[in-house]
Order: sequence, then C-alpha cells, then structure tokens
Amino acid sequence: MTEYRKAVEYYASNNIDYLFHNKGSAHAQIIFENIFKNAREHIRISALNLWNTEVVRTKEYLEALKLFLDQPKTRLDILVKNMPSNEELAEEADNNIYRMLYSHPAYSAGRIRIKTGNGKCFKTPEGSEVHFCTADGHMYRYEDNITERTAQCNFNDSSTAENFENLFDSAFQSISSVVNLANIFA
Amino acid sequence: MDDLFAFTALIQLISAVNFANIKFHFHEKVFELLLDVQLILDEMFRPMESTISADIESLMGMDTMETKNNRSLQPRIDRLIREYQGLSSEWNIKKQTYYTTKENCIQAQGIKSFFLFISLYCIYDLALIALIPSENYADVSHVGLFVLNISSLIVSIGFCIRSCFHKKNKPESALYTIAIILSIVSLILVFCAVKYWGPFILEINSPAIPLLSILLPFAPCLWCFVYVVYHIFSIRLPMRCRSISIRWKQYKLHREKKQLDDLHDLFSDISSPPATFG
Repeated sequence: MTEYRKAVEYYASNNIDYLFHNKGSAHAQIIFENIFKNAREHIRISALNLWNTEVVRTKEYLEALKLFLDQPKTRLDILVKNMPSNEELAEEADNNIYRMLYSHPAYSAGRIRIKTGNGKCFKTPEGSEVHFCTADGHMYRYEDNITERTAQCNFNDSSTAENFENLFDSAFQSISSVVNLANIFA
Repeated sequence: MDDLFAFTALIQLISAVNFANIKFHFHEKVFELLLDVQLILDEMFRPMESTISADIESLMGMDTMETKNNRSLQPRIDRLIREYQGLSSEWNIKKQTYYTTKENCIQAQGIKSFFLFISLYCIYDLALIALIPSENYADVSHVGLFVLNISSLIVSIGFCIRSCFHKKNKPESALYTIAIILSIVSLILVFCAVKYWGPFILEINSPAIPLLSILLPFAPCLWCFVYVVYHIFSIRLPMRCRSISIRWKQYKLHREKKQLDDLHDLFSDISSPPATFG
C-alpha cells in the first residue's frame, strides 16, 4: 500500500489524467487524502452520513480536510443522505468530523455548507446508491458500490468532474434542509 | 628562514598524521555528498514506478464485467495483474543492484588501505622536504623525493584499479599490512636509489619536485574524487541502460491496461452524469 500511496501522490500532485479503479477503505482513504491535499478552491462531497470510522473518521482524512480548509477562500459543500443522531454527534472524540468542521474558522466564515437529503441521495438509473466527491473542476472520486467501496477516480478529468459538479449543484440548490452545526455544538 | 621552512614542514607532517585517520572515511562522505542513490532513483523512475503500482491496484479494483456474449474480462485482468507483479519483482531486483554497487564502492577494502598508503607516503614525503634546507642532506632529499613520487604513482595506480574492481578476497587487516609493507618498500627503494643511482637522478632532477611534494599531501582528496566520480558513472549509466527493457515491458502492459479501461468505460460511461437525485 506504500507504493500505491506514492503512486497516487505522484498522479495527484502532477495533475495527471489517469483513471484509477479502486476498491476498499484503504484505497478510498488514500484517494480522499490526495484530493483534499491538492484541492485549492472548492470541494463537493456527496455521502451517506460522513460518519464511518474506516475512511472519514480517520486521522489522515480529517487532517487533509483541515489542511484544505486552512487555505483562504476555499469552500466545502457537503450533501449527506442522513445526519448522524444528536447523541452520536455529541461525542467528544477527536475524530468527530462535524465538531472539527464547526470549530474551524472556515465554518463561521460561511465557507462550509452542509445539507441533508433526509433520506434522498444520488442513485444510478438501476436504483443503487452512489457517492462522489469532486474538487476544483478536475478531480473526482465516484463510488458506484458503497458496500465494497468500489470507485473510479481521476485527478485531471475536467469534463467528468464538471458533470458531477453540475449534478451536485442542482441537487444542493434544490434542497432546503441546511444543517446548522451551531444548534448541535453551541 | 631555514628554521621557518623546517617548522612549516613539521606542521605539515603533523597535519598529515592527523588527516590519515579522517581520510579512511573521506570517500564515504564524498560519495554521500555527490550521489544520493535514493534521490536519483526517485527522479529517474518515479513515473514508471507510479504507473506500475497504480496499474496493479487499479486492475485489482476493476469491476469484473461481462461482455454481451457472456465472456468475462476477469481472466484478462488476472493475467495482466500477474505480468505486472512479475515486472514489479524484476524491477525491485534491478533496483537493489544499484544499492549493492553503492555499498561495494563505500565498503571496498582496497580503497581504505590505499588512503593509508597515501598517508604514510605523505609522512615520508614531508620528512624528506624537511631535509632540503640541510647542506649535508639536500641531495639525498632531492633524490629521495624523486624516487618516492615515482614509486607512489605506480603503487597508487595499482590500488585504484584494484579498488574499482571491488576485490574483496583479502580481509581489511591484510590489506592494511600490504599498504604498510608497500610504503616501507618505497622507503627502502629511496635509500637504495640514493646510494646507487643518486648522481644519475640528480642530473635529471627538476626544481619542481619539492613543490610537487608539498602539494602531494592533498593527493588522497584528489584520488577520492576520482574514485567516487568513477563509481557515480558506473552506477548511473548502467541504471539507464538496464531500465530500458523494463520500461518497454511496462509500456506494453500499460497500453493493455488502457484498453481494459476503454472497455470498462463502454459498460459504465461516467462521462455523462451516471446518477440522479431522489
């Protein structure tokens, strides 16, 4: 996996058009980490609830996301199918992503927006649930099997990334359920 | 003036003795300074290694789709993975040889005894320089320096050739003994030369010899650079040549992997939005 990490870092940092087929949590974590580290403007995430311990609530994922938010003028839009329960969110743990987002200055600056689909999510024409993440109009990770985390990813494919971003934006604008983290953590 | 000359020679003599110890490891430091094998490997082969790793993992993560006539892509994917893994092992073995060459260069026993020889030679050399101002020993000194320089030149070439071919059939202590014996033989040669061929050598003696002798304590540094530069070329050039076949194999495998990607895209065309919200 060390070699894979090096390879992904190489493709991501050099913006090389290469289609990665990846599978499993370890791959997912490496890909997300590199998307966050190399993004400079805008990240969009469509996910189940951003609460899994295998990928999201890991030190690497959270640190990379924090590094992205530390950059000025960056924006993060998150669209989740469902939010975790308030009891779960109340956890004081270091790997609580929502607490991290709330305590980051980017949240009070309005650079982080979170919405919930209240059970609605992106689906394939066959009806299976899909998740994706895009960054800066040229990076994407598209997970078409959320159980096995089978996904495709590219760090420099503008046309596909923009298609996903348009899809995300139209859904994001149509949803009114804004998640206000201040109601949970304040 | 004579006292000052003698004092200078004495200082140089002491310096030569002190530097003798440092110079045993000097080539190692110079090598590390001039050639970082890991960095070179990264610069030269990172794109190729990245493609190999990414292709292997990507093939492993690829969907096992079926074509219209129910023929699965899985056997082709499996074969490609096996070939890639073979290529990866082959490359790792080749890469290891570069580290081994570097280690051989640093650990070569001959080179350390060569520096010992040079250091001993410098001590004799400076002792003879110290004799130049003396009226009684000036001729002896000139003849001695002449013979010492010639003999050391011949022995140095022998040592260099031996070290470059990484001869390791003798233990380090034996090589040190050889270096000491060689330097003593040089000294004996000087005495014989002074006694039997002194007048003849003095006729062809050049005033440049004392000057050359003062510069010679720096010889280990010079030889060290020659030695290290030789090894840098002996690592870099074969590195490029040997990687050509690996690069060619990797290019062919990557081309096949791209064909599989294209086939995959036919089945799951993600270039148009593959999902709807609901």
